Amino acid sequence: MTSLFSPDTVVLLCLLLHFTEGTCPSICLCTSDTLSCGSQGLTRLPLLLPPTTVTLDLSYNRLGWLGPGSFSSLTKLDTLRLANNQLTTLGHGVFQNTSSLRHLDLSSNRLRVLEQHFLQGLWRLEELLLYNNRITRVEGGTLSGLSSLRKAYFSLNQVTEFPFFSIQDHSHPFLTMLDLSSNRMTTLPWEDVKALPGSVQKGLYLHNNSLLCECSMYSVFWHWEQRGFDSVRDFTDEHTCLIYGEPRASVRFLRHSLYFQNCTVGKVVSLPMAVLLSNLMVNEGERVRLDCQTSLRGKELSYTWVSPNQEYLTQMSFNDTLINVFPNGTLEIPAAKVNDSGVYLCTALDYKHMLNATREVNVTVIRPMPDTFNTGYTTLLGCVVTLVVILMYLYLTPCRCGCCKQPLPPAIPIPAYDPNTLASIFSPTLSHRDPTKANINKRVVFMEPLMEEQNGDLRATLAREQPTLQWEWGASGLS
Amino acid sequence: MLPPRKAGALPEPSPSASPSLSLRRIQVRWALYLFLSLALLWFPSGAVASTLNCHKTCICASNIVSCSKMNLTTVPTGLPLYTAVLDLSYNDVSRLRAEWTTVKLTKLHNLLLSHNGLHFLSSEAFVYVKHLRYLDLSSNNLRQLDEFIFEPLGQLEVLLLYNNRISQIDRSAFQGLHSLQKLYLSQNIISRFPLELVKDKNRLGKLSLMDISSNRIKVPPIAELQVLPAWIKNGLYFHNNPLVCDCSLYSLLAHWHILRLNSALDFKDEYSCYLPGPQKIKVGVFDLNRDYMNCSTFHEADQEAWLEQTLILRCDTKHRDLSKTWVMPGDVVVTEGFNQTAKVLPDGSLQIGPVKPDDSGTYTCYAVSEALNETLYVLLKVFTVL
Repeated sequence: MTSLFSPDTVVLLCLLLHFTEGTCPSICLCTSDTLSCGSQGLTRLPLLLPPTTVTLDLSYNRLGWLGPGSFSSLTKLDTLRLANNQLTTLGHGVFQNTSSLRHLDLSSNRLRVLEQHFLQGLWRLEELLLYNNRITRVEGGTLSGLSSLRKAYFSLNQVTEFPFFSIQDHSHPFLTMLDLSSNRMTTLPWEDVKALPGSVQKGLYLHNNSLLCECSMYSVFWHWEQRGFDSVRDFTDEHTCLIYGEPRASVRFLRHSLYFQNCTVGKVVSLPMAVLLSNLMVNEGERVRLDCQTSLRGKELSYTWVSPNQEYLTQMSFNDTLINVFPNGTLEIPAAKVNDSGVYLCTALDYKHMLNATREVNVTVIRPMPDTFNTGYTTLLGCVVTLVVILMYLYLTPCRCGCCKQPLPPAIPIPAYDPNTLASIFSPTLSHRDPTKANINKRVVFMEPLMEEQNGDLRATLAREQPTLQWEWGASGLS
Repeated sequence: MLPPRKAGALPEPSPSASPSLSLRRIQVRWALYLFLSLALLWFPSGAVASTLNCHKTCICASNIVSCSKMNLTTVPTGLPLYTAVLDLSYNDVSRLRAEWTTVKLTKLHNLLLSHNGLHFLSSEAFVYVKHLRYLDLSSNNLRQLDEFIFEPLGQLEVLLLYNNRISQIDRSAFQGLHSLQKLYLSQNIISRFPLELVKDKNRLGKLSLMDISSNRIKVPPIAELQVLPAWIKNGLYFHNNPLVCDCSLYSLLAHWHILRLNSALDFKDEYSCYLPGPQKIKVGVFDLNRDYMNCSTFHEADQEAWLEQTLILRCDTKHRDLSKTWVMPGDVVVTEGFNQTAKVLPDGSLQIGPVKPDDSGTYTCYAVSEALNETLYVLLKVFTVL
């Protein structure tokens, strides 16, 4: 009788253990370094996971809880997907010895509180997805130790408070995205938010919360919008606040900022806008007008000009015989002098919004050169000289042909013509004029058609069809 | 006799035509203005109506749009332009048409389409998502990969195609994937080893992982695989295929095992082959030296050189981008401006020569980076001709 512990069974069991260690669990799909166990109805982790696993996908299962060191055998684990399960909490040390993890997806679960120990030890973690849970509270030390963190999504939860103080330049140097949108935050520690590193503020998404309408809140978002942050630009309409916290009084404060008209939005921010107008050249004695157009758009801007001599010119200066500054910022020099040349710097200040912008104009005043030549006289002199030369050529050059009689001047086209000469051109055979013969059959066809009105329509007709029209030679001239 | 008329003079237009003509013109002009203003009025609201409803169809966490398990048959329209991750897994999108998005989604980095029964990929499917870095098409019904199907994806780093029904891969299917680092083709019915991906001038220069395990490959190109650099061989997984038993196959895998390359080390027991003959007996490849084909046990070959020869010793590391230092026999470190017989080349290889008999010995290469280190040994034997 063979007992349960016969040598054969033991060997068989040992062999089984040897072969099953590190091979693919039957319910999962295994590639070289990926384990895909999604949507398999799992309520617990598969027992033996291959230690070479780099990516483990357990999404769409029914995991309710994970024990300590659940993944400690997976030393190469890089990506862990646990989305769409039923996790309500995580055991202490669940990610012990899993420090290789870089991407952790716990979205669409049922987590309620983020306790400090959940993410302990994950110093290589770069992406943390916790959206669409039921998180009401994030403990202060939750993010401590996550020094490689780049992106963290806490959206679609019920968070009312977030420990912004735990994020500083040195603690999370790579954090570029912190998504706290679609939560239930009413008021935030705005000073802590303003103290966050610039790179974190740039990726801080706070839209679709129940924020209270207050100046301190408005100034933060206003500055972010001025800087063109995507978090504000891409979600402009989703930035709403509640007047006095009343749920039905919701304002899209980035579109309708009238409510915040009286808020001063903090320190002066200088927009780095210096527009250099290419050399403005004026003549001495001309009136010069320089405008102060900047990117600032406001009705109550005050302007200050600085002249090349480092003089401050404002509307209040009383040098109005020399230089004027108008309320709209235009600077006027009634009569430019050469030593008024140089760079004029204008600063426009919007006191209410605490912004300023600058503009530079480089003015060059030139003295026109005196006319040593009067061009009119020069032209007349040139004409006279030319005429004299022509006459010299005509009358003073020796005659080569030896005949006494001056040759006829060359044919100069003149409007009047001699019918005699014309007749000789047209009919060279007629050596003498015969007026009677010349009259007959002398018809000249017009080169351009005549326009004639006939029955209200225009018709082009040829002269040939109108025998009454003809040129007639004769002593009477044209008829 | 009619007086001659000045050429080009037009008659006066008839008085009756003018008021109706100008009135018509005025009417047309105002109709055009009205139409334009109406068009402008309705255009923005029209655009708004077609944007994605983030609460009903999908879950939107800022730039992550998750529409998985929503019984979708087509990709939702009006996806926000700021979308970075689009998850459409576990749906019924069986065809990825050319116009699944009508606008460029320049911020889209991850596209997840696994478990959709996808059997058709349009050749223009990816023209609007050129910045994709991660594409998951696993667990679908794709049957073949047509030429240039992934051509626009010049920034793609990871491509998952496992668990499909792929039997044919066009030789130009992966053209254009200049940034691809990981390619998963396991669990398909591929019978041709796609050597062009790792060899020749059109190969994917950054591909460090190519997984064609669990397919139908019988004869891999052993000679060509042997000469590939170690960093490619390290990620070349072809276990669990119906390979034909051959001593050269044993030699290749035994060598890879000695080099401790992941592809041979991690799945040693899953490299099996079929013995030639009618019975089709399946054995483990690593057993071929002992029990079945009596293949000669693999020995690492030493580097051999003749007197006065100049040669190059390669530091063939499993990983790339390591900085390499060489130590010659007798613990002499090779430094810059050393005696001219030993020089470290830009790619980390050591050029030595002309060699003399006392240059024989073990040359050690220490390769380090921030996170990794490797040590390789090369045994050089210099032969003299008598």
